[in-house]
Amino acid sequence: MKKPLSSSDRIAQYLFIAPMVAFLLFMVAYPIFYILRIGFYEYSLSISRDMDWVGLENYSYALTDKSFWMAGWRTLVFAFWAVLIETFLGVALALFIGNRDFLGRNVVKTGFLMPLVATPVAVALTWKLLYDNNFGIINHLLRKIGLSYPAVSSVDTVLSAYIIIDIWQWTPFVMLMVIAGLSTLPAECYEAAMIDGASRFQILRRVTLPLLSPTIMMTLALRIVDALKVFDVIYAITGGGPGTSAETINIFLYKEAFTNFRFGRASAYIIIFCLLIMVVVFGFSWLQKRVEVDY
Amino acid sequence: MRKVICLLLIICMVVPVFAGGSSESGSAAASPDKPYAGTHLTVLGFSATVCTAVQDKLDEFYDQTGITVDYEQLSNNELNNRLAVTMAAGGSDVDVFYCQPTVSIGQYTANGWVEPLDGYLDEEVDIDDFMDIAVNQVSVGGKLYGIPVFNEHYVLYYNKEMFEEAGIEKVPTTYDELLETAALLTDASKNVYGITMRGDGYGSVPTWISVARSYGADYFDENGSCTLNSPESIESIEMYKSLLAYCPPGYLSKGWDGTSNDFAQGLAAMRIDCDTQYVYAVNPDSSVVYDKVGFAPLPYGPVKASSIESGWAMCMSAGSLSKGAAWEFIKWATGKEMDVYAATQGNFSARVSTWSDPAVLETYPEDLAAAVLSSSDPAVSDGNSLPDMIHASEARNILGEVFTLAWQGKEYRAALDEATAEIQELYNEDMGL
Repeated sequence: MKKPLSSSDRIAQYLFIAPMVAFLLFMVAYPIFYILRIGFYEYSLSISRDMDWVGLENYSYALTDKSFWMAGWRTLVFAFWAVLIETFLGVALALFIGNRDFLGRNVVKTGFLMPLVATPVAVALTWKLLYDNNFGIINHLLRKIGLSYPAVSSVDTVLSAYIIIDIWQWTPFVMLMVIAGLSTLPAECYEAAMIDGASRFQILRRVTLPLLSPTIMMTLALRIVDALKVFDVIYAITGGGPGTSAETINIFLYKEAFTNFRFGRASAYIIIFCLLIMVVVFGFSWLQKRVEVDY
Repeated sequence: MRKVICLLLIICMVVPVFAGGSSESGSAAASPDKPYAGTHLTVLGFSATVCTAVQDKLDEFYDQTGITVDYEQLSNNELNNRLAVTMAAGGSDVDVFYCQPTVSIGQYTANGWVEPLDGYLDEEVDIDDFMDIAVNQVSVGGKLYGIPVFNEHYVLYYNKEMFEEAGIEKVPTTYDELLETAALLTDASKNVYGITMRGDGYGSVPTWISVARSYGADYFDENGSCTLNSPESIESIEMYKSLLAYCPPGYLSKGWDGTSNDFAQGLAAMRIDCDTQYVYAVNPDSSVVYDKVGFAPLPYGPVKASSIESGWAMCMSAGSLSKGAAWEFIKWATGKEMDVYAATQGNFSARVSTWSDPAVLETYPEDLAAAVLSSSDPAVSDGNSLPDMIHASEARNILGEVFTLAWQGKEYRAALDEATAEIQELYNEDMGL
């Protein structure tokens, strides 16, 4: 029997959630509105003078700032290739491991998940050593067959090197999500397909993948947002270098705010970037609705 | 009743969060020989030997003065950010901090964040004992804003064994000789290279300026116009490029740690970088060439020999509420006794007397100490590693992008002209022109 709440119970209820609400207000809502506000000011910590109201000047400056758009483009290229390959590999691995029983399955699964739980800076430093031109194992092996991969020390290959790290680190996440999705698929569909004499490939194409599509789309959305926000590994290995060749949006903004101390401009940029991410995500969820199947 | 208890528990948990507050000068009785007993100071340091040395001895400071010290060691970036934010809020949260004058002193003095120390100086400090160049760096408009604690120059590291094997007897003393020697020592098929230098655009700015000044180039001329695209400047960039050709591959992403590895692993026969990193080259744990390392001052260019002075100093926050105690701390932490102790721990002192202390001389290789002293000659190290301006790091970023192009062997002249104009504009903004 559920009793109606007494008024003091109701107060207690609010009291219990109050700390969390206060935390969110102070640590999330306030900073966001603050950033929105200082985006309209010239606010530099290099020279201490009062914040100057400049209206939309920071935004109009952003429109013509080549470095900002280059950083944005680099971020998109990075996210596109990283997420595309991760999804492909992750789904393939999940299908391979997910519905099979073999000796050591759990060991293999756990092994695949290791990169996921590693600390980003530790990951970065490890890869920095692996990639090293002179002492790294990757180039050591490549040299034996007469090749070389300058990785993070050349402007031409640096982005690909970061994409490889991202794939290594995040493919397991896609795999994990898809394995979880696989285990919820209804057995009836498979039985029906088998009775109709479908081949294994047909089952995969006509049954498994369509049924999995909501899971895959969900995972894709999460990965895209995450990949667009990439920062830690790049910052720890070359800080966006050589030059600006791996300067993604977040690295660019970090430099604008914390080495150049132009907080007003950086705030305006981050708002623009935030809007861009929102466009991508909404576009994506629109796409998701088209792709989903009814059954 | 249960609800009351719950409520009390919540209050108990929440209240301490807001009760941090400040505990200004304290209750302990101040005696005549300990006038500041009971005062509490906040000191912000960076990660370096000198800061650890001071931290080792904080108990002694408390015994002598009764002042308690909250001592934090931060990374360089964190320290800069923390100071900018604290100072913008009045600066009373910090009493003493370490500062890298070449990077920050312009910004800090322009904003009135640092206390001038001229009024505090006394004989005990013996300011004349400090290397002139180090004192110049912390002086702005004739006022002294900090006490130098650490000082760093560029020197030439060389591998004696590789020199011997190649039959080279003379350590290069001009850049042309350096280039020749580097070429002689390079054998890419054996994975051995003549020299290693920073090739990361941003990182190579101070290395380049050490070369550039010996060609007569500089960031600005005496009239405050940016001369980065002058013929001398371009000549020195070309020399730097030629030297990079004899560096181990992958130099484009190398900062000081990269060049340090190259040299310590015997991959490169020479290295131009900071003297303060010598320990990585001579320590058997980190170096395979530890017993073969020689040191020399940087070579001469067509105009003169040049190195840079890049130091750290201890400063007092203008917003400090306990300036008397803060000065006591600075005097103690930069005093001769502490300086010698820090030097024996591996700190590169800015005091001339420390470099002739027997305990210190025992710590460092003889040729290194000689190279340090000759590099700290004001005629040699006559400039800062970065331009003297408030937006120094932004200027470094801009120039670093040009270097990234140049070091790749790409066309960089147009970008250099553009960067010169941009840095000039920043400079004008800083000067309020």
